Amino acid sequence: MTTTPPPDDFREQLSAWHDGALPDEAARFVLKRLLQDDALRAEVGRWQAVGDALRRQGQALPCVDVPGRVQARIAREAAVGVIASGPRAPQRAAHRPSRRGALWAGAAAIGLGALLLRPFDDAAAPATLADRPAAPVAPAARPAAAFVDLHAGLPARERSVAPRMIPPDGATRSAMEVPPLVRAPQPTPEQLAPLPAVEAPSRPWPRSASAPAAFTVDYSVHGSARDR
Amino acid sequence: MGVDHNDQELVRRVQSGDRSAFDLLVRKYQYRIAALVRRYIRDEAEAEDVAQEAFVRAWRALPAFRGDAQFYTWLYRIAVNTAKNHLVSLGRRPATEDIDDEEAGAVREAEALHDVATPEHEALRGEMEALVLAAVERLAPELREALTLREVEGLAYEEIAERMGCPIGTVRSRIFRARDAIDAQLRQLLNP
Repeated sequence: MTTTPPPDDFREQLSAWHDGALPDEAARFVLKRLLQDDALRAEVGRWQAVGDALRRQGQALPCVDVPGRVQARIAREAAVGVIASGPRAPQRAAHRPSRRGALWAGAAAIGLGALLLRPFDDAAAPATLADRPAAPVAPAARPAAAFVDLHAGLPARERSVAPRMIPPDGATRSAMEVPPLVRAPQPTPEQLAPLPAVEAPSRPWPRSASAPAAFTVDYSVHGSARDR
Repeated sequence: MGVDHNDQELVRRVQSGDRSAFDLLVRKYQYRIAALVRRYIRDEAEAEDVAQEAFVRAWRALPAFRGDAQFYTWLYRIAVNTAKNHLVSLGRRPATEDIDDEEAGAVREAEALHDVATPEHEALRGEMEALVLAAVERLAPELREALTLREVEGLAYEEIAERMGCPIGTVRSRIFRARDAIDAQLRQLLNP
């Protein structure tokens, strides 16, 4: 959202905020407005670039609108459930155990079981620290909508490069697919046959010798409980 | 470099679901991340895709970010690993070790000291730097001094006021006017 250009005195305050030189109350006010104004955020981004250039920290000029593309990607993924509802969702789940949490845990257990039954695949393991999912989403718990083509509607350039980002056999695809449970070893007919009858007496929990006889049940075959 | 309280606050807001706060973080660091990724990936369009991917990964991972490291150090690590993974996925280069926070911090310092600069890196950095430095040269001396004391020497407003012998309000105004004048030229280059 972009509002009318703010007056210079506000932008001067914004400059002071950028330097961490505003008192808390004023900083909150400035930040609130800043987060509602695209043009102001872009301006702060350029101020940062100026400071970085003066400090001779490496910079490069992107040819595309990186912030716009990032926001579009986040919105698209959130819409189809790949990022759930954003970074907030895992926090809520962690702090408020609920019925939904139990369902997620069950789904995660199923997913984990399925993964354990699957032959090991190097490509499925996260290769680096950055690949390790910080906000874990169990593969089995992903909504079906997650399999929607995320690149639908993108310009041709993005379509052409997007597959490079997600290799066909890479971690992302492996995480999205739920290994079929039919790979689990099936029991043989011998294993399914009824077990032969065994003559084994049931064994009640040993009771104290001082237990009242009225409440003692004798399950023994060859004698009373007191004989054992 | 001290703790960036603005980044801390922005991260806190992102963690409570504020996408605008994340947008601001992207806008602040996009040029540095773009330069970083281009040290690994020469193709410009490909590097921009990887930079974008790094930011998306950072968004996904932010719930787990506890602020043990500076936000940029953490983002730096994600960007390096994203670039390395991209190369590995294309079979261009063997996998190398991940970097940790300590290494990321060391690389950042080295980056600032030009120890790791390559000719390509210098050329890429030169474009932005040349523009900014030329704009700074055109500033009135008192604006240039105030901005330089703040951005290069990292002085607080009180220290700048003492050094320049003027009130803090004047320092604040000079720094803003310097930024505004440079931004008028930078805006045309960054948003043609």
